[in-house]
Amino acid sequence: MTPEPPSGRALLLDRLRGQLGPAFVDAESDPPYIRCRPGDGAQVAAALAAARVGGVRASCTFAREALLHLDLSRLDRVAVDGKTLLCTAGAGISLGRLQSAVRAHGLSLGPLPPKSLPRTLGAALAAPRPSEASPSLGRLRDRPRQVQAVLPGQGEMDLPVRPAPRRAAGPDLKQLLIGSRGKVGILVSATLPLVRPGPERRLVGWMLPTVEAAARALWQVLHGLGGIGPMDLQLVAPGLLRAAASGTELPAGGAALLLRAEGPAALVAAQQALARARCADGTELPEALCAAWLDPPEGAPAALWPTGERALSAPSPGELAAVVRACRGPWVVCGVHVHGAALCAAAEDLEDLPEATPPAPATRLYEQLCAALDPQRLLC
Amino acid sequence: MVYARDMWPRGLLAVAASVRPTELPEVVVWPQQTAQVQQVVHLCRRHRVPLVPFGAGSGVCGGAVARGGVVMDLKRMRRVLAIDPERSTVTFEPGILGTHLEGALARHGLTLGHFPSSIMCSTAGGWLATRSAGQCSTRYGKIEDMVQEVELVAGTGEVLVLRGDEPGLPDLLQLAVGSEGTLGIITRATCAVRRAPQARCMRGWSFPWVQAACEGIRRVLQHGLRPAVVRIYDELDTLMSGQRRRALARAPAEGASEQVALEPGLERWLEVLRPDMQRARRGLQRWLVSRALARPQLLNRMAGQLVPRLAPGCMLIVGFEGEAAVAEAEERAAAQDLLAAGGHDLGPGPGEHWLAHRYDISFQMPKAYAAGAFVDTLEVAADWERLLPLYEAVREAVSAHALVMAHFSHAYPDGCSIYFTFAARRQGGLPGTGPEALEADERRYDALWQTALQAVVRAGGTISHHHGIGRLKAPFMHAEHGRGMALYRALKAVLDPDGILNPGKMGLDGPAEAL
Repeated sequence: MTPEPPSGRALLLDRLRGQLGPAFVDAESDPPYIRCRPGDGAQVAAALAAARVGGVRASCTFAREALLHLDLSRLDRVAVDGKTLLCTAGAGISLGRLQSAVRAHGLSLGPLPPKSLPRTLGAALAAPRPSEASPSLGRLRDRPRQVQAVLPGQGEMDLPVRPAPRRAAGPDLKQLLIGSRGKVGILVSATLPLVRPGPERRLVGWMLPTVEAAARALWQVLHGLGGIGPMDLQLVAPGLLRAAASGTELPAGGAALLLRAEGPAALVAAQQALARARCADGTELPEALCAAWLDPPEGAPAALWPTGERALSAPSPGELAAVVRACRGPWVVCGVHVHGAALCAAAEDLEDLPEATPPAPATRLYEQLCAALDPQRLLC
Repeated sequence: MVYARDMWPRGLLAVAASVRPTELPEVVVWPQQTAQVQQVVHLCRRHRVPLVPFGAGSGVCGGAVARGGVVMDLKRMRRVLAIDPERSTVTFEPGILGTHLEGALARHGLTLGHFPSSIMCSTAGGWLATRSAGQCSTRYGKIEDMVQEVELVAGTGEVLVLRGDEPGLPDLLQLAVGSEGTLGIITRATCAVRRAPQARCMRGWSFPWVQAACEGIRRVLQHGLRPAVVRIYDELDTLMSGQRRRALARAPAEGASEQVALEPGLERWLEVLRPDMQRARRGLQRWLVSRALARPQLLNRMAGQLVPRLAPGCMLIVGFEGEAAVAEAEERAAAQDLLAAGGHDLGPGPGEHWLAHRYDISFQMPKAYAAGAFVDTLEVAADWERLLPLYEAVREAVSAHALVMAHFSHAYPDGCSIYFTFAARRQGGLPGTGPEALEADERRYDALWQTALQAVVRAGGTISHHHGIGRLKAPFMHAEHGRGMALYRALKAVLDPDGILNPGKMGLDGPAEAL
């Protein structure tokens, strides 16, 4: 009796086990899928090449349509350069672990919402959230100086070939991968700028009488510093702040403005004085209370953070106050930077906000680009 | 003839030699609205005619040079469409001159914070097309950091509105910005604006050598300070620009913490020479052009030997701005870092002088050409680790072709840009020369750039920090982006499938594209 020829799935499995090692490839039958754990960019490229040969779809986001799932958790290496303040990190490392790794060098990625810390770097870049931004550092998605990626048709590539602080050499091609949710290519690593926490650090805050007053103060602090802003700047619902501070009594008010200033002592003092002047209507909060929200013990406030979020594009203070007022549940305005902010709130509150949908031509353009770069629709 | 060229120095060689440029457009159009731009694109597409967008022609990389076809001059699209102080945004058409845009914002107490030295002769659309940087980029970022939205007429004729924050999409805006007219024509843009600074604190610093000044600025930036202006002039640039001489003439400057210690001999000589310095400098310049630039290697070697003896040290200009209390606090904090790196405070004089003359340089080039030289500039960038090796590598590579000096500006926490200035003798059009002289000049020019950019790539720098690519640097786009060029080609295929937009630029036509 002639043995039955191996199926395409079995061939793919064999091939992957040969390339990545048997310990890093496993298969499930119900539902049927293959999971592989590549250890570097070359193995990601090999896995995608195998998927192409096998005619199966692949995903690094565990998309249901894919047969081959790439688990990037082994891509977790970190290299830190203390002179240039750059780190190169694998896409599979969580932001929390990355933050700890760079802190060991006395450096930081900058502020991140606690709910982002379990996300991997790859996920944070492939599917950025508007809350992952800082007044002085901008959006996390804009910070990479270089990414390494694998594209289905082109293989491994560094975008650009050499990192540089800024350049004027054509379009920023890495932005085609950042935010693409793994549909254009798979991010393998990224080179990110770090910050050296200043010798002086203050966490300060004020309870403003109304949401409108708080929104106005936030705008004035951001723009009063020349649009550069402090390291972190948030508006927080009083109830959330109270919960984070274990029920500590708060002054009455509509919203708390919290600020993290870092740097040389003279600058920090000047930033604090400026914020105090802009929050003259408010009541200053004790530093311990501000720290309970801005710099909590590991993991403490993550559960408090509202899970949903929505980008607010260059809102005026009046618009910002209006969207906050519309929330029935807890809310935080964070990710404040010169181009916008994020409203974190309960999903049902966000449902009431009109969803900003990309214009059809922009969506069509993106779909055409995906088709041009991945004509077989290998990635999903 | 007006639209035969931009400010690409290679094109200026022919102009200086009174030779009619051979690369001319066949038609020039001046649209006034997006719909007209769209009609022209459709027309060019139907007839497969190249279309080159044109702002004010201040580009120095040949990005707006047309080889036949249509040049679309966008200067009639020059309106400020909206200024929204509450949202801190400005919306404008692409053909507005930078200085007019800043003027409109100033009337509302606002600023874009973008001050390229070409601000009087460059358009905001051109800034976006080339990823321009202003003199205050260290604080406010480059133009790509300021833009929020562009309207673009693609090579298909479709009008696209691209933003950087569309939910579920990549930042398509950053794919349009910097494309130098190869993917579409920008017809409208919205940028973030800031409140105009309440106070400005400018200061000069002297350092024994350029490495020390770079180290000082690296410390300042990595401590979280954001000066608006950072300019480190290397020893030769300090001498040639007269920065140090002016600082010495003012010393002890008001507010200076420490007077620069001069060698006793040099101080005596300066006293003797000071009344004649201006005349001597003019004479030196004439001599340089007529004689010395013909032997650049020797000249560079002599400069390397003599400059440290004649006028040791280099000059740093650093300036903070914003709310008065914050700017002053930043200045005080920066002073500690600069002193620790070996700097000497020269007081506000040098900085204020620079501020008063910040745009003069854009109008100096014709003088050099008239004197029988050609000058050009190369702006590159690298992280702090690679920066000084890059500086040395380019100087070494170029020294056989031209006199070379540099300043470091546009500094960031992770690195900095270097702005090289080259000067060499030209012969085309000079008395007693024929057409072969221009050809020799062009060969020398091409060889210089080839050598310089090879050195940049080898040293790990980027080939452009803010001038863009155009035709000049197009052959090096593959070295810059490698396999990433496949992404750019995919963008081109989708947005400009017939390849009508600004052909021959940006390395899209193949790796072997000629200068």
